[in-house]
Amino acid sequence: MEKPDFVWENLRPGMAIGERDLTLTPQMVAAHCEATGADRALYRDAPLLGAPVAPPMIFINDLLAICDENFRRFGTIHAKLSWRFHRPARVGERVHQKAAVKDLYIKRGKGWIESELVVTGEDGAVICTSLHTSVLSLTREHGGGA
Amino acid sequence: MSRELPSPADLEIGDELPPLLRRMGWEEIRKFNRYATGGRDTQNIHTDDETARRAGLPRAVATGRHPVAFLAERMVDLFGTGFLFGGEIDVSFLKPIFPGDTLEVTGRVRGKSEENGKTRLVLEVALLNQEGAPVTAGTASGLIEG
Repeated sequence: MEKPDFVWENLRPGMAIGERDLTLTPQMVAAHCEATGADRALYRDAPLLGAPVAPPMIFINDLLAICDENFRRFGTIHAKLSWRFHRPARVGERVHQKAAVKDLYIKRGKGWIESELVVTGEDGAVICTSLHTSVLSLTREHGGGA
Repeated sequence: MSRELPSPADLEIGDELPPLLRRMGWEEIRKFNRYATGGRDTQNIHTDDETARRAGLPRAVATGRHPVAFLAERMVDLFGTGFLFGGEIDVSFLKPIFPGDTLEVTGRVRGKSEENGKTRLVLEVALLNQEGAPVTAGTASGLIEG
């Protein structure tokens, strides 16, 4: 089935963007550290929670990734970004990610979306949440980025 | 873990963190793009000047999310587990970051508050480009024991 476009007319506040489960692997942490320059023993071999922990921003791309799994997105221009870190994710931990539309509004002739990512751990407790405020295409556009 | 930073317990309102420089060259931007796209090298507004121009930009721009990881890691430098358990970041993206920019990661203590028997230290944080202009700015905070 063709994915719907990630544009104003297909979205509404409170609507789920998508959800998924994933297991944090050492390779995921290594890829994040390579891409962002994060480098500390805590992420590799120093046990804090009985295992190495992931960097706090390990889920930096995941809201957009979930969006891309469920919609056709045409680039996202972020205006604001907020993160709340409740506890680190353990390497090897299975986490659940849920993304949703928090709000949609028009300001100065542009469409805006606030979308939220909530990540919970194996214990059911929230690991982190993030709120992304972005310009939203009112109609399909081209040339977007990652 | 604190590297060259003071203990957060010793910081007072108005104190500034030692600045940290991070380069955003093509290599760093493409590396992050590859990470964000699941290991693929893609041509988009972040990695290709021509694609960026077609989207109305003067040239390629880095994703705003990428250097937020620099701020988060700086906060882990400062707070250690006090950021991993209870850290917060709220930033706005003010100007584009271009390939070749050098970003200065800055922080200045703005306030302290009590939270469940711990002290939350709030900093004004920013990423300044090589011209001294803030490209990303907001607040970040972490918890101090006792």
